[in-house]
Amino acid sequence: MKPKSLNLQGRKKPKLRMSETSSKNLPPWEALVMVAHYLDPQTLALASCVSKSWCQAMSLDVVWQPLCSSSFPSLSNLKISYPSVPYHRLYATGLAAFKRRHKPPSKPRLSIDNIVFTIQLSTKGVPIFTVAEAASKMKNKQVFKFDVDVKHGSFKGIKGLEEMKVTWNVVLKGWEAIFTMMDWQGKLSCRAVEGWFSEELPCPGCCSSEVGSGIVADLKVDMKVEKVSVGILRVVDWSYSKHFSLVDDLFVRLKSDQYRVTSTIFSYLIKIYAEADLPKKAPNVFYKMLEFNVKPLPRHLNHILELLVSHRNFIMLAFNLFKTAHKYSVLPNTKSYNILMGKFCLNRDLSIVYKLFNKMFKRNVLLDVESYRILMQGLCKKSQVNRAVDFLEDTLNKGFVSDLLSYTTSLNSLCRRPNALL
Amino acid sequence: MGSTSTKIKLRTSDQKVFEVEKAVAVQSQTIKYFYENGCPGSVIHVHSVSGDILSKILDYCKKHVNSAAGKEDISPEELYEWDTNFVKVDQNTLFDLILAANCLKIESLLDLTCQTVANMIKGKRPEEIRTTFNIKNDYTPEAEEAVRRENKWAFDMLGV
Repeated sequence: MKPKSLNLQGRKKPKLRMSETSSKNLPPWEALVMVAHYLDPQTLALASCVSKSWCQAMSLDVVWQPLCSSSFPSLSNLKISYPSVPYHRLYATGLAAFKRRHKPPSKPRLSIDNIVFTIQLSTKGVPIFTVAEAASKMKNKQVFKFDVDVKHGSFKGIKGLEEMKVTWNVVLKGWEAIFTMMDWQGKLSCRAVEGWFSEELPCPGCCSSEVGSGIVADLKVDMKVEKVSVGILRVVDWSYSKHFSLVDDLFVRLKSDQYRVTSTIFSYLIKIYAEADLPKKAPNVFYKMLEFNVKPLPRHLNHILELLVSHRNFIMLAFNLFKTAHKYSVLPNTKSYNILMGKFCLNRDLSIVYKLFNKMFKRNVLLDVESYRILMQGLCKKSQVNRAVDFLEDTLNKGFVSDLLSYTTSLNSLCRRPNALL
Repeated sequence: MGSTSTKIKLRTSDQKVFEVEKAVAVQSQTIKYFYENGCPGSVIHVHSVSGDILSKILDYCKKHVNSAAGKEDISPEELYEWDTNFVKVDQNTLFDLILAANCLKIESLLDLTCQTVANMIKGKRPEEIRTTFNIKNDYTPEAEEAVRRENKWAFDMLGV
């Protein structure tokens, strides 16, 4: 009887205690932690929003560590250097990074067709001009740069201006929003031919970067005020163009102060353009030399040509410069011809190569082995092996010691087309 | 040795004494440890488990031992069905079972009970979980906002 009564007593007491705790704090925390091991990350995250104790149970590192290291092994290593970062946060970060990587870039919300540029230039509160132009109307090149024509302005020349205020606004069509790209105020050197105004754009709010946006709004006013250029560039590109414009300014000053300029400085300039990968600018050096009464040497011409032909798009620019060089009695030498012939050969424009070749004879420019070789290569490529062989003979008759490559080139082609000689 | 006939005495938190076949009792790794390391014939105290819960757990162990030993002709599907019915209990009992299974170290029962609770939580929004388990939201509005923001990705996965 005794044990039974003991049992009864015991049964009542704990049961009461248990139901009390259960209703207050259900489910027990230890059980929750146990269950947490059976949940997937999403459920864990949702369940941690239930209550404070649930949040504690669902955010434990023991629960999240295996999830984190199986999904984002590289991130879970961060825990070694930053032990205070909880694993559930690492998981969320990893997931966000994963999604970001796999999300295609969102569609741009602004189209160039919906934008109007307004530019205002004023001095001492008096507006010099105001332009409003649809962005789509302006010539849109690959670079985000636009020229605004302001020829019709009622004034001519704004030399000697000092206090200037430049404002460039971008207006969303329908006046739904206006963004100020630039609001610049300051002094402008009266010597400059072009006024440059640049301001770095504020950084977008989404990133907590303190270095800025890395994007510069740029505005250039032609001081004859025929056009205003506005553009948005990366800071890196901008500093290039900015510095080149400083170079231009420097030359203007050199000229106005009648400094003697040697040809060496121009050689350097070509080199700089080559390094900056700005072949388009290279021909300017040629004209600048003429401007300074420094006669360009064939060496300069060749440097520029080489730079130009290294870019597919500028071959014709090179050809034009080559032709104009004659007008300024800068005589192309054998190397100049070779540069152009070589490039046109590669492009399989044999007719131009012939023309150049004949011009060389006409202008008494000596042909060298290289010229022959280039031509022979071109001929062989176009399967005109017979003529190539003629040329080879001609080379030998003229006393050039033809190099091994010329022989191999023509022989190779001969072998490939055995009937060519018949 | 006829170990099946050996009995082990267990005493629960409410002082109930159970006499259990050894094969059934040693499903619990904890009991097995005490049995092998304690004095033979002495009563093993299971302080944290009440009599009601222990009797349920012993039912579970008996079923599984018998089916494994071939004493009972039961297919895996039938055993699965039996398990499913076994955990059809009120939430208090279910959580007590979890704690007991953890304490007694019965791996398969812990799996079964935890998985059951996990299934009750899965796919639910926090509000639904609160209703299911009758939990009071003790977050301040600001704190709830913060914790929801931190776990926004999980809400996004739920869809609208």
